[in-house]
Amino acid sequence: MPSARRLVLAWALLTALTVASMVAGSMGAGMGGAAVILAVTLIKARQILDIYLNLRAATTGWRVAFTALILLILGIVLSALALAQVLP
Amino acid sequence: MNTAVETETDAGTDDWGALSALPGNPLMWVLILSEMLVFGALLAGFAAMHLIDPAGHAVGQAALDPIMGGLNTIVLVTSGLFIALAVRARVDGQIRPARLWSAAAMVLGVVFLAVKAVEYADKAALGIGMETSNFFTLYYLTTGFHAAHVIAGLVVLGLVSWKCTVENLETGAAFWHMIDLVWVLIYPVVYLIR
Repeated sequence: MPSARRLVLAWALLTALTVASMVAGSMGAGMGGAAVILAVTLIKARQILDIYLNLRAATTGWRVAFTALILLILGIVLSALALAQVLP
Repeated sequence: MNTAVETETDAGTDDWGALSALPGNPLMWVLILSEMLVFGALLAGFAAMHLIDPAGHAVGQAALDPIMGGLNTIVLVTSGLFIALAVRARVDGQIRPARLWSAAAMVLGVVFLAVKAVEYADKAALGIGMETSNFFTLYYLTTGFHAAHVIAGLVVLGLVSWKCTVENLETGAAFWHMIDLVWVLIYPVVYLIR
């Protein structure tokens, strides 16, 4: 179980990254902006898993598996966005 | 010797296989994985819509308020901090602070639902409903299903605050963090990515 200090640091990072995503979203910088927002989302999801859910206490295999699942979901979204730009 | 082994097994040291390597209740992790797959499929639906009907997707998304969605993200990650602090306090043997942190997390859960209700009311005032477009059908399915999880989570947190053992609170908190995790994935895909 993480310390209270570690939990508060994770919350501060999650809040800061959420505000950064909101700013990036309002700028609407196309594919680049979308990639940044989804990269930030990956970091936020990992913080919740590793710190709030204490997944860092699990084996490397589980940590990799959860990261892979998040990457799969976000990858599908980014791929669709990229294809929508290319297709007529 | 055999009796000792049987007694140990009966006492609850069950072998969950690979799930034993995860912290907390293994069944909660099965639920977390299942929910990630379900909501992942819904988000893939948004991605497919973006691909098939980019104009319709853009029109639907433009009617959403990313500030409200972002506000609700901050509300949920803060409630996640509060329930994590509740578990931290309970592990340290502090039952009353654990219950207070848990109550604070529940209050923010109610705030999340209130903000969501305001969003739904705004859409209704504009004449936007579930059948307005494919985008809004998926929007209401995804966010409504998530809101139903928040309501269930409030009940779970109420129960584990009442029967406030370390294991109960850890399990209830894991359910709440799963709701938090899913929303962190929903918000950028539904509200931000254009």
